Amino acid sequence: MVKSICFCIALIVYLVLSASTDNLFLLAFLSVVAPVVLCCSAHRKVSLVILASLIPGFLLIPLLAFFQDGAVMALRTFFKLFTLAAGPLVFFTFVDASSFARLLSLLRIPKRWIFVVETSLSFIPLVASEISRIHEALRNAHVPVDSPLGMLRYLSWFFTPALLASFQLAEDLSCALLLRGYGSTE
Amino acid sequence: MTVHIEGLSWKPLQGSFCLKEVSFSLDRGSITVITGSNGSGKSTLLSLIAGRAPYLRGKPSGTLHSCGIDVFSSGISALFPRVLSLSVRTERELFRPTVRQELLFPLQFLDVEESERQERFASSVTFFGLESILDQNPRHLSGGEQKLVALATAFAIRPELLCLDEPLSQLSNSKKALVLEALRVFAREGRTVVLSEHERNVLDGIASREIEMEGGQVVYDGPFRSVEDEKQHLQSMDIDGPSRNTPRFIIDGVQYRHRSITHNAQKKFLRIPFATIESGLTVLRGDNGTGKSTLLRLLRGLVRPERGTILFDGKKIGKASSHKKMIYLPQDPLRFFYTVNGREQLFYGVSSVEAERLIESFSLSSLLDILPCYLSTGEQRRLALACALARFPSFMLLDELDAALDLRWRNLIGRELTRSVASGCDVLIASHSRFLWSANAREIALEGLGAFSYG
Repeated sequence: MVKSICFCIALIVYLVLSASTDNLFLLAFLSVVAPVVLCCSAHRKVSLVILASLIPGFLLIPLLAFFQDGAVMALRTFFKLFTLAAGPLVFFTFVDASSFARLLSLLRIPKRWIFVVETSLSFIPLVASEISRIHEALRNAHVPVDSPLGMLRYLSWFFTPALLASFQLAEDLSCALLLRGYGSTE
Repeated sequence: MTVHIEGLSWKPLQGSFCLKEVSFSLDRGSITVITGSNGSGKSTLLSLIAGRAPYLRGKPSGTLHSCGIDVFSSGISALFPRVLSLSVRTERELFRPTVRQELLFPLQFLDVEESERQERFASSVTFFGLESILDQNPRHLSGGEQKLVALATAFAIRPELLCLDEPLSQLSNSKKALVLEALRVFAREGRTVVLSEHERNVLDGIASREIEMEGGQVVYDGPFRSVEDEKQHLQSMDIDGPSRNTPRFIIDGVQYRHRSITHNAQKKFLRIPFATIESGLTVLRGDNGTGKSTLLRLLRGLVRPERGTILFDGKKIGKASSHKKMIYLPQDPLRFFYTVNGREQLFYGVSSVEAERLIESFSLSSLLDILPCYLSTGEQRRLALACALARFPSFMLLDELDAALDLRWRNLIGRELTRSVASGCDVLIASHSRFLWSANAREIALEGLGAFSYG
């Protein structure tokens, strides 16, 4: 619980700082901090793959900003978008759904809402395990994805199967929930 | 009548009819087994009975009533707690962070007293022997243990109708006996059980009725036809090769602690002081949760031991992308696929002549362009094995290859493996079925977490 509270406070500070500052060096520092912290996690490989897979999306808006307002604005936009995604990713890599749910119940949030949040958050590690499954299948097929460089090179090989597997997983989960009575009574 | 089906047909969005004009009724308190070859429509039928139609992507026609409820017009949640189904891939239906929460989750929606809930929880835990794993994440358990957790949940809900898809696959003999006893108790209480199962011999004296499916139609509906010994129908593998008894793997002082992708890592260890795995066919046995799958993953290099070394042909196991001629087929065949269809994976970097031969031999032509997760488990297994064999591996690590396969495919797979072993490929297979791999096979038993005994 203490860990959840500490990470929650750290996340709020991190997000407020990145949203409020225009200092390029501070933004760059914040952008470096998140992957470094992720590297300390036991699930660093999957977390870094998720973060890396978001980078192409983050490049699009800064590219527009580059043509409109120049390089500094483009960099600033990129760092802000990056920190916006990296902060929560670090949080949910270190804090599991049930600890977060306990934290919410301390704040007297209704049980029903907590369940929805907890189940949605439980989905993140499940998607991560699907990505890990595809990673393992690739390694098993001798595709050189052991190194971070190899993972980046074959990023597109992860993406489509992971997306489809996530949809399937969401369906399986919702079916399991309904079969076990969720939604049958108020 | 618990189930009443009249003229039921099911057409998937892609492909031809999966079920055609199926009609039958199931009486209260009966145990009915649905048999048939892989892809005959057993799982689809079970899913429809349990109200999973909205998740199957297709169009139904005819009538289907489960416990008096029209499953096509009412939602899936209307069937709770009267109908419950467990799919063959139970691990995808476990979603709570601990086994305890998984068992308690459905009980909170039951209209019963708190004391009754606690009693159901306790009796379910005791019956299935889950005391030691109550605080573990169900997703970190072995395939067999996950199956027991899902069955324990069903046992606690006590539905009027229980639909089980391959409930005995991946289970050791002692666990199978436990599940069969649970089914007996269920039926004795007047509840109805309908299940699909390939291992017919274990259902002798338990199942009262058999419905055999073929090509989406019912071809037999009557009393359960006992199979005195399924072994008679299995062709034994006649392995013979000049290179037998050469050590391929040498395991020295290996220790591995399970670490999972999610939180609350298990504190389970696999320790193997010294062991060798020789050429030819070796069968790895052991109870559920003894570490068979973990050992295969260690040998493949997908996970690394904390201590000790594993040598393959005298070289230390390194990155998984090295050892090009070693292939591992996981317990969950879906873990083998990384492409959006089987064709892409089968033809990737292999001889097209061999791939075409395997397509013919394993009857895969209609399955190649379908997303692997939409195939039945038996179909996934056939496709995965074909993909592996097409690469002419020198060593294959097979995890529960024979689970969810009917006799025809088991025999065919046996023939294909015999062919591979004869041409110089060695095989280590983790399996619970004692008779299938007996001929000329060396046997290793994993007892506890890592103790080896040779047979």
